[in-house]
Amino acid sequence: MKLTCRVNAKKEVLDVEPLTPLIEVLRDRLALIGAHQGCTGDNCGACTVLVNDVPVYACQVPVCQVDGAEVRTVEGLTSDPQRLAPLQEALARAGATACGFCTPGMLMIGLALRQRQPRPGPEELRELLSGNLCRCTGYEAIVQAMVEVME
Amino acid sequence: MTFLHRPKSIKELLKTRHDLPDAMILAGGAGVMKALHKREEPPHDVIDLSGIEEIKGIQVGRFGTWLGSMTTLHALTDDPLMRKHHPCLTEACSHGPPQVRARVSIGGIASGHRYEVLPALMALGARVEFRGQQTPQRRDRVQDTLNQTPAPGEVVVAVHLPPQVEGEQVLFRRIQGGSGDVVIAGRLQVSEGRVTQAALVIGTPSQPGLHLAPVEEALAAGPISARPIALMEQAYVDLDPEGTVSSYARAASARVLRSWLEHLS
Repeated sequence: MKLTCRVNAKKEVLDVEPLTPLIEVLRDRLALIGAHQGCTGDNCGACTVLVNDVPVYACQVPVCQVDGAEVRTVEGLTSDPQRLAPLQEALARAGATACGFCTPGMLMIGLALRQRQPRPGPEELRELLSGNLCRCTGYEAIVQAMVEVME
Repeated sequence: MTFLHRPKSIKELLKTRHDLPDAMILAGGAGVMKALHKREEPPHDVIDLSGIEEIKGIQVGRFGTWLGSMTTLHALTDDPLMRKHHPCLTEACSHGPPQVRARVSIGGIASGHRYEVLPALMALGARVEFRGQQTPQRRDRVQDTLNQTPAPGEVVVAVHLPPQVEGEQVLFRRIQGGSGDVVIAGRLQVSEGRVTQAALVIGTPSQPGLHLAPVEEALAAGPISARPIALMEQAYVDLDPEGTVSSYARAASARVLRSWLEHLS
């Protein structure tokens, strides 16, 4: 099928199999390898991207469902590639990146939560981050950085 | 190769279902993707429901609430009218990762298994609206739809909630405990210190929604009292003879009911 969507504000016209997971299209067709393919099973959150500003697991979204949608990946976090976004700076300051595998997903869920009103407090934040796993178990630093940015 | 069908109305959907009885339904997407990730053969035909406006949205009115079957948990918890009129359900839908809530639809829950949300729907007396080309439109209680395969060609188009009534009290709690979480959802109609109608439902990963009938009967038998708590403990034993619900969760849920009843009395 042919579909049109916007990825990081750039129009993309794709000819794809409708049930191809969005993560595969992003990584293999568009060379946007920031979102990681981890569990492919609705658990780890490393593939988190925003579709129309709503966070989703890109491994669970068939690409046909982003026809006409706005997709944002970690590569589109800032408009200036020379500068870090506030959330990236906070994670770096808190030493919350460890091996870095979960970081793109953490950044995207953090961005979605930062856009929410009211912004979540520390307790709610922990619940909302429950869909993003850190294999280095560096959760304290991640939550600390997120709390800082939410404030 | 997979062929994608995108009906724009319920009428078109029913016709497509009739013409392609083996087609896979694509609502939130999670079910289809799970099957593909298990390396199952891709379906020949897929019917994508995302273009049907008639099964999207939320309408809160004097005669009840209509939830289109494609309404996601995310949309439901974001809706200020839902938060005002159905706090029990919005609380139930607000647990879990945002990425999952953005994809799971209320129609999928009503016809499937989601132990955090089903008890709330059951306690509130929700009904599931089905439509089919061969069968007349019908509405079933949510619990009647559990473990029941929709008739061939039938689709879930909406979930209906009855209107709130004066004196109605609702409860929703999730208790995290070792061997598994438990949720409790309740709805009481209280008039002059007496319970006139009671619904109390528990959900566990293995039992997504069960009415605690003895407790409901004890609650509805007269003035608010502590008797239902002892009955609830027994009801757990009857419903869960293998003990999948931890003793901590049992004790905690009894405490939840006790404090709720004390608050009401």
